[in-house]
Parts: sequence; structure tokens; C-alpha cells
Amino acid sequence: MEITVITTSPEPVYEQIVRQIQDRVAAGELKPGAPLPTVRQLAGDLQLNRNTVARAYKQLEDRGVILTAGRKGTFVRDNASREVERVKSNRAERSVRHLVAALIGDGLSRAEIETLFSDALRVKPKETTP
Amino acid sequence: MSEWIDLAVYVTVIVMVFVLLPRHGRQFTVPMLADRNPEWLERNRDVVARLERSRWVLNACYAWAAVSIAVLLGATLDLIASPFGAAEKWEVLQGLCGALVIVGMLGWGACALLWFVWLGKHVPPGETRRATLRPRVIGDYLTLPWRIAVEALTALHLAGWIVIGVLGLAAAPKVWWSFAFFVGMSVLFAVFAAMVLRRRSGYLDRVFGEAYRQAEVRGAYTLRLLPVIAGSIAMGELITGADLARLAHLLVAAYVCVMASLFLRLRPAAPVRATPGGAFASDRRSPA
Repeated sequence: MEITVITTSPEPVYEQIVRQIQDRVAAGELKPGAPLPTVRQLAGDLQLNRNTVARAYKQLEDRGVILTAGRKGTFVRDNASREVERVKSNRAERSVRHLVAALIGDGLSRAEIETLFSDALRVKPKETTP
Repeated sequence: MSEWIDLAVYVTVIVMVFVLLPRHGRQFTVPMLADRNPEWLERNRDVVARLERSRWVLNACYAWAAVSIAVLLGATLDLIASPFGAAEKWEVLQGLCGALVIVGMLGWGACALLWFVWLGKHVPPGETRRATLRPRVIGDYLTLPWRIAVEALTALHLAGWIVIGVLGLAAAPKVWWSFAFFVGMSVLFAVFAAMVLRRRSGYLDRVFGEAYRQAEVRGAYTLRLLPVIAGSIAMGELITGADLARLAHLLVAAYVCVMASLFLRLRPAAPVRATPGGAFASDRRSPA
């Protein structure tokens, strides 16, 4: 099971790590209790600064996805997939609220916003992917 | 007559270190470049071709091997005066081989340093990096019986010193000093073996895949047997009064040959591909 980071991507490297580990958890590839590499190992393999990986692990720990048990190592938490879903759902809700607020700010009516959302939802997911 | 056995062992070391290893290592120039930056490799085919043609490091290694073998042969045939005074011939051969290997390795190290400086200066790191999400554990590289055998032999060896000291089979101060020395050596090599597993991945790991660390871990665990062998020889010397230093030196030389042969068996993990970050991923595990 691999992780890939692109150092020139606009998405910060630590967020790429967080996202990919969350995706693996959500997909069931990383099961509860599965061990993760140490910060040192992952940073070494990705040729990154250890602080970058440590930051990603800290964020995953704060979100309840992983658990660092001292010298025993880092593991996927029991309820990690539920936490990932909750985080994703919160993020989606925030994004939608932000977007709706921006559209209202641009002077669009409720009906117009609803039409825009309905149209967007009719587009197949593949077509929205760049 | 028996000096010819020493000569054969030391010539094997020289051939391994300065002929076979450099020749084997040369084929990894392009994989190393591909690992660092595959796009650069594609854009600079002319530079890569020039690097592949260049043989000066290899020729320097061959020349040093020829000089070393000539010196050892000269010492065996008494054509060269001993630089170590009135030492026995096997001691002269051992001393000369050690000095020639150290000087050659320093030269080789300088060349390696130049290569890495050149890489850092001319080849920027690639944009895409890959890593495994599986933690590295010792069981992936070394089977349990191997580990148990090494730990048991180490414990048995150290216990042997305690038994000799307690039963008074040899002069007490020397036994306890030797015991302390071999405890220190055993701990040092155990720490080294643990560090090999945890150390940061480098070029060689990505070029050879997990097989490189596997060879390294096996080498480090074999190295843990060195205090056991040296301690057993020292124990034999203390109890019987025989001089076994010559045997110990020959065993060290044989160990170097074994380690070199482990490296010679390594092959690149994947053929060179010029896809971003796709040349050598670190997730290729070979079963232990």
C-alpha cells in the first residue's frame, strides 16, 4: 500500500498525506488497529522533513483517525472510518455554506441558487473530475 | 607454505572490494539518476550517455587492485621488505592488506562523495515521491529462528566468560576485562543491527527495493556473530595458551568477502522508466 506526494502541488504536502491516509481508512484499506509507519520512516521514504509528516500525523490524531501509543507505534483507531466520514461531512457542510453565502453576496436569489445546485447535481461525477 | 593460504584470502578480499563491487556498482548509475529525477534523465540523455561511458573510477579501482595484489605477492615472495619490522609473514600480509584496503576505500569514498555532490548540484530532486504505508518490522527481513540463534549464541558466549571467570579457568583480571569488552562489542553490534532497520531510506533502498535493507539487516545480524567468534577464539587462547590471532584475522577477511557477495547478488528493483516518481517505489517487498 503506497502513498504518493507531489512536492509542487498547490495542496500542501502534509495535507496530501492526511487526505490519502483518510481515503485509505474510508475505503477500508487501512483497517482499525492497522499499524502505520513511524514519522521517521515515512519522512525518510518520502524524502521530506520529519516535521511535515509529524504535522500530518498530529492532524490525523486530532481528527481521531489515528492513535499514537508511545514507543509501540501509530495505529488506525477503532472508529477511524466514522471519524473520517464525520470530518468529510463537516468539511462538505462548511464548503456548501461558504459557497451559498458567496452566491447570496453576489445577489442571487434562493430559487436561482437551487436551480444552480440542481443543474450541478445532474452532471455526472466523471464530467466534474478534471 | 601456509602463507599462501593467507595470501589467497587477502587477494580474494582485494578482488571483491576493488574489482567485483565497483564493476557491479557501476550499472546503478542510471537507476540512481532515475530515482532522483526521471524527468531530468529523459531531458539529459547526452549527459547520461557520457556518464555511462566514463570508466575512470572503475579503472582506478582496477589499478589499485593490481597494485595491492602485486604488493601482497611481493611480500609473500620476500621481494618487498617488511614495513612492520621482524613480524611474522602472516602478520605482514594481514597488515599490508588492511592498509591497502583502508587507503583504497578512502579513495573510493572520495569518489562517492564527488558523485553525490555532482548529483546534488546538477540533478534536482523529482516532484513525485512514493512510500509504503506499512511499517518496517524485523520479521519482514529475518526469520525468527535466525534471530533466536543469534541471541542464543550471544548469550551463550557471554555466559561462557562468566563460567570461566567463576571457575577460575584463566587469569581473573584478563577474563573479566575480556568479558566487559565483549559485552560492549555485543551491545554495540546489537544497536547497529537495530539502527539498520530504522535508518532513513536512501538511494540504494529505492534502487534495489526492500532487498537492499534485507541484505543489510542480514549482514548486521551476521556481524553480531563477530564478537561471539572473536570471543570464542580469545577464550580458547586464554584456556589453552595457543595463539589464534591469525585465525581471527582470516575470519574477519572471510566475513568481508561474505558481505561483498551479499551486495553482488542485489539487482535493481525495477527497470528504468521515465515516469514521474514511478521508477523506483519503496513498496516492493521481497519475502524474508
